[in-house]
Amino acid sequence: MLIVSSSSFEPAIYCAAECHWPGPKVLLILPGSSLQRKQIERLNKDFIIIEHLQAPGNVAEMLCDMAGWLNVQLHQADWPFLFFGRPFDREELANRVETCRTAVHGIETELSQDGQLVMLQLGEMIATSPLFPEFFSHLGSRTIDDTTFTELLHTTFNWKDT
Amino acid sequence: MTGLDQLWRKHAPADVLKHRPDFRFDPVHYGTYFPDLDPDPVQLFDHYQAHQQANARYATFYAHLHAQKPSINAILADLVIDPDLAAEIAADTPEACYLACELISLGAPVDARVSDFSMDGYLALHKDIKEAGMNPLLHYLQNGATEERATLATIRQSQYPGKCRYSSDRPTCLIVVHEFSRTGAPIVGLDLVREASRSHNVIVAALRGGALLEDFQEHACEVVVTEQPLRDFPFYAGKIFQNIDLAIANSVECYLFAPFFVASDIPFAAYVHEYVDYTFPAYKSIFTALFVDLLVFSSDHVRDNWAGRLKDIEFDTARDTMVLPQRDFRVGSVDAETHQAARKRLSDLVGRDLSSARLVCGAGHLQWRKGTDIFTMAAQICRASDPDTVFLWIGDGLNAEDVNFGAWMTYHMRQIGADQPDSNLFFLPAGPHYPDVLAASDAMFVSSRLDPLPNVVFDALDRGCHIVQFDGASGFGDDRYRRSEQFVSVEYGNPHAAATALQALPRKIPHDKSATPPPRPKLFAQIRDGLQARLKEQRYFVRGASEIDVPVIFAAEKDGSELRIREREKMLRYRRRLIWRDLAEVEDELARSDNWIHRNLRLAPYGTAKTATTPEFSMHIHAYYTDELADDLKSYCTYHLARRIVVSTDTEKKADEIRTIMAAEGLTPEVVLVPNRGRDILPFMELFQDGGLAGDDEIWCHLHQKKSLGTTKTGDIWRQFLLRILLGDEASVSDAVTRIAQPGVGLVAPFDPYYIPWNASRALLPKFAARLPGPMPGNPLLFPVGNMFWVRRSVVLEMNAMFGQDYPWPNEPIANDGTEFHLIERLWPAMTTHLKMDSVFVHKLDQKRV
Repeated sequence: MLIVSSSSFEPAIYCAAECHWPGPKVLLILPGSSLQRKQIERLNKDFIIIEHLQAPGNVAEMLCDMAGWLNVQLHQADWPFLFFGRPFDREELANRVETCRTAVHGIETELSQDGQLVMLQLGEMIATSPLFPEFFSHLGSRTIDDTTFTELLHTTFNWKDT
Repeated sequence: MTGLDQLWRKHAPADVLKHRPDFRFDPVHYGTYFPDLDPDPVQLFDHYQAHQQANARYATFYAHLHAQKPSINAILADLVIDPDLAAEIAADTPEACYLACELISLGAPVDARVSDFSMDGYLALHKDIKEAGMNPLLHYLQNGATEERATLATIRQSQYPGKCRYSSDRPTCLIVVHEFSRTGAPIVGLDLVREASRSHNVIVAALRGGALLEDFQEHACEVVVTEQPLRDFPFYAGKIFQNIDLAIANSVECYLFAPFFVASDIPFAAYVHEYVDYTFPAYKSIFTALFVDLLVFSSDHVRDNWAGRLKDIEFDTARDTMVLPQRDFRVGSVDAETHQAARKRLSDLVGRDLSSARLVCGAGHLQWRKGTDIFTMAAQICRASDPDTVFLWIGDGLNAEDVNFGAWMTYHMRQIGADQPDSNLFFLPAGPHYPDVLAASDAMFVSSRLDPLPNVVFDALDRGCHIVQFDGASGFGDDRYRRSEQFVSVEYGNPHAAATALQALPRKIPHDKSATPPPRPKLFAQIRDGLQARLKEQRYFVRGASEIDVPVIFAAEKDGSELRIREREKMLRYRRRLIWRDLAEVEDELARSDNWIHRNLRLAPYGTAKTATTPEFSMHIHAYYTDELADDLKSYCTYHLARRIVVSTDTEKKADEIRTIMAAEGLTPEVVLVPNRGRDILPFMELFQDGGLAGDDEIWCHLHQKKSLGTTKTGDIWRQFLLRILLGDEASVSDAVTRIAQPGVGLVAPFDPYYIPWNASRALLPKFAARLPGPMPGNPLLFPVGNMFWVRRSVVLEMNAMFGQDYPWPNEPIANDGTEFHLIERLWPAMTTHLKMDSVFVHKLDQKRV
């Protein structure tokens, strides 16, 4: 699943829309986004769209919310998981798509200076694990910050040594 | 450690145990009596120990209350359901009731787990206690028990254990039927439950009980009967209630479950068997369709019948519906022996030899909808041409004391000699003769006026009967049935055509062997798969509060509440509409529409006008009710700026009252007496007829005293909403009056945050289509909802012209929707656009609408 938030800005969003990706693409639209209704409708052809009318508490909350709605897709996933909450270009996207495919157990996270999750990359073995949707569903009812969320991801899916 | 201490440790949450290891001392409670002490639990406990004798009653909630009212022990003992704690109480263990009280006072989830008392539940059951801000347990122990107030025990009495065991490995589904009666929809519901129980944990819920309760228990894990699922479900006992994966509401009558599904985020399908023509109030079908994830119809005909109502809420029928007949279409047969024996038994029953008769059956409740009267008339018609064609109806419901149907039907039957041995028309009660009736009959005459997909037809087909039915009366008019020679459709409601068709049919030829009825289709699996496929296909979601916040199903919730946000999220997700999302959406819809009416509609923000700039204007008030008039005149200064005020009412007594009320404000109205016809709007339009009181005045404000003596608080708020936007307030004048005076503006009305569609007026559109210069839009988008507005004289003249001088207006009493007067309300913008003028809708979102 390729997830892009509107905080990645339009060039990155269109870059994600055009790229080849093996699974569903999701666009998270945050309040204050410059995207107009007609643009959103056009982008809906490429993306599953989740429009936030109020600013969510943090990215972890937004991803858990998304996982609840896309539960069926997550359970049937046979693709990696890549999230962007910051700008990226075509080259970075292509590189990460490739890494997702090859580093099947890989977890890579990036937090902004204010502790916001801005990039999350999970290899295919993690994203297709039956534990993965359960992880979100377990967190769904709790309020945690992005730092804790990434720590829990690393702890739960630290399979490199097993 | 005593058994009671162990029970405390078992039930109290870890964060409570941390500061409160012993239930006999509650530092939080104790601290409230000694606010000057250090709040540290250890220090408070030390203080308590040092002064134990004097402060014993401050140790806990129980200690304090028990000191005042020792009899609370008996009340607590009655509440406890935890078996270990109940055993301690039964054994008279000292402090067992103490522990019970302290566990209950911990609140959710402990209270409902150990007892039939829930702190939240008690407040949900008793709004007065909630509004008073009282501690619910304190109230119950002090007063509620004596007053016999309802507790969780009341809710749990409606929970019946099923015979299937809950398994955490299985998904859980909730199947809702409206009642457990032995009728069509509940029987389909039972089929669903039977099938679902093979793969799912099944909860069955019904709004009412009935004879099938035990059958449902047989195949379910739990069965509940409730009309308030949102209130009751959190308090039913059992893990099964904690995670419901999907739900099926079997019948539109189950719409009361929609709030629970939305609040709990449970995806659901609604299996609809009812036509909208008899589903009233209309909100049952509207609420079902607004929030459902998949709408399943038993036939194309029923789905087509819903088209207008679905269009009203911008429901995507192609995307969000499927058709699934409750049974497969197959034609069976009966063997000669069964056929002959059935005829013999029926002959004995009715007292006439039926061995060689052409036997025509009908089945179902005797009522207008089933057309039992038409069945009877068809029998009368056949009697003349072929007395050996015998009609036999099986079913209950005939009550000679029922003046709506039974009295007339009984008299009809008596007049034509039904049930006499020489008659060709007989009636049997529902019961064991049903198989004989179907096996013996050559044909079934489905005389129904409107009947979705009656099971009796499938039963008749299983026994090789031909079917004669009316065109457009049933789901059996769908192509899949119509293509078969087994069905003959005749003109709607024509008994002669039916009689002719019945007599032309070939007789039933018994076979060597009776055909085995086909297996029942996998209804549950098909609905579940359809629902999951629909959920998977969804590509748009909304989270958070949209700009316009007015209630739909959560009307009792406060503004901005989470539940109100949830209901809007779900509507927006599927782009269904009963309220506007925001003003941008309105403007966008207007810009997108290519309909001629919408071209000249626009929004404008509310503002105030300087009195010096207001144009010359007149006002019309229709005052069928007068009780709010005095307050209105005081509340809105605009009345005092009007050049003329014309008031219409229906009696001289009210006219005098109006003159007195207005004189007290220094106003002199022109009062006109009109018959009580055409609600508020016809008296206004008639002012503009030749020689009418309107004269040549150009600008008018039309108002009415919408409040009736029975009007709700909500109605009063709506009225204030309309008047505030149209008139301003006691000190300021709304700029609606200056807007109507702008060149090119023909109508100014309040913008309504609800998206009000054609509703029942849709049926009237074809009648007036030719009188308008262009096609009507799918929905009106904007119009003066509530029928109060500023308007130019030419617009009213245009409306009058459309209906003509001598239009046959309907008299009171009229329906709540769908009359010409409801259509007029929606057509004002059309008249304005037709005159190439604009309609302006003034928004004031901070003004309470509901």
